[in-house]
Amino acid sequence: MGHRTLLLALAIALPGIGALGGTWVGAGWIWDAANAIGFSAAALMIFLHIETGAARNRPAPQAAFHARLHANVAVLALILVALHAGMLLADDWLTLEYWKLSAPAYMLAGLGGALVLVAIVTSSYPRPRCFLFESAAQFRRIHGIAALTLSGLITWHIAGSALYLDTPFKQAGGGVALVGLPLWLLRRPARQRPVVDALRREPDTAKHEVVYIGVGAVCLAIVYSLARNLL
Amino acid sequence: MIDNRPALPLTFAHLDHHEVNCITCHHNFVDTTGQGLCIDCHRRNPEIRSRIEPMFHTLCRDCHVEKRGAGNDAGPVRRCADCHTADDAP
Repeated sequence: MGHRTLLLALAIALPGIGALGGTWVGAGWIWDAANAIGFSAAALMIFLHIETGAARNRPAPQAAFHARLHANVAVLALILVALHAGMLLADDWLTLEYWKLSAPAYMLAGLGGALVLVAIVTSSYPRPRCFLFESAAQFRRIHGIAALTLSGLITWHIAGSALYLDTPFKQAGGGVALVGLPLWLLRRPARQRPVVDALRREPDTAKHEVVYIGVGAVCLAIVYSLARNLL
Repeated sequence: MIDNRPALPLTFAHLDHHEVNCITCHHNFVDTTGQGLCIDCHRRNPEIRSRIEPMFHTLCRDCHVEKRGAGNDAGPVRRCADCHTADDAP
């Protein structure tokens, strides 16, 4: 499957779980757009579990493209998380109460998830990686555990707010997508994991792809906010 | 730091809730859990103080979500500042 198709599918499917029964209510134009940005960041996390950046016996330029795509998408996810929080704070300064230790557990899970994401991204750059990890295998193991932990925190954060995933069925669906799928992928041998393809495989185009993905995420957020508040 | 945070101001208009049964909120008049202001018990009773936020959000906000989901006019659904603004409404 092409990486763009996969990303689009994930970006639509994850917030689309919110349409499976329960209540479909707009929480406000900015609020819903900000949360849609958050959903896009969560969809990118799922994508990163599928497109792990591994070489997979690809020729060197293609392998470099996929590795850079994985890294750049992770940075984009961090940017989207910051945008998600920043938009909510700009629209309603009282959300600052949710940054304190007195916040509900699901909000602390979101804050913890953001910190884990910062740690994952920063520790993956070459110099910190060589300093922190004794071997490539150790890095991959800890990186994978941290990524799964992050997925769990995201699930707790989204399900706990109970606005978009407001029924047990929808919360279970979110859990399957965000935690179940990565766990299932992790347990499969490397050669049996799905292969993400890309039409253009030059390493330098990876950052262009991320720009397109980011713009796509913002557009989807606008559409989602319109759908929540007008329908 | 967690338990002694100040309560946020709250805007609430009884006139907007005249269709709601009084004891939905003022449950203490029927279940003998005490008299006085709601906040007296909900903030000072250590057994329920830690759950004050989910209690009031479930009581108020979830009802607004349900009403709006049914296509009716309703109060604020999510924005904190829409409820947590001081006013003198009766």
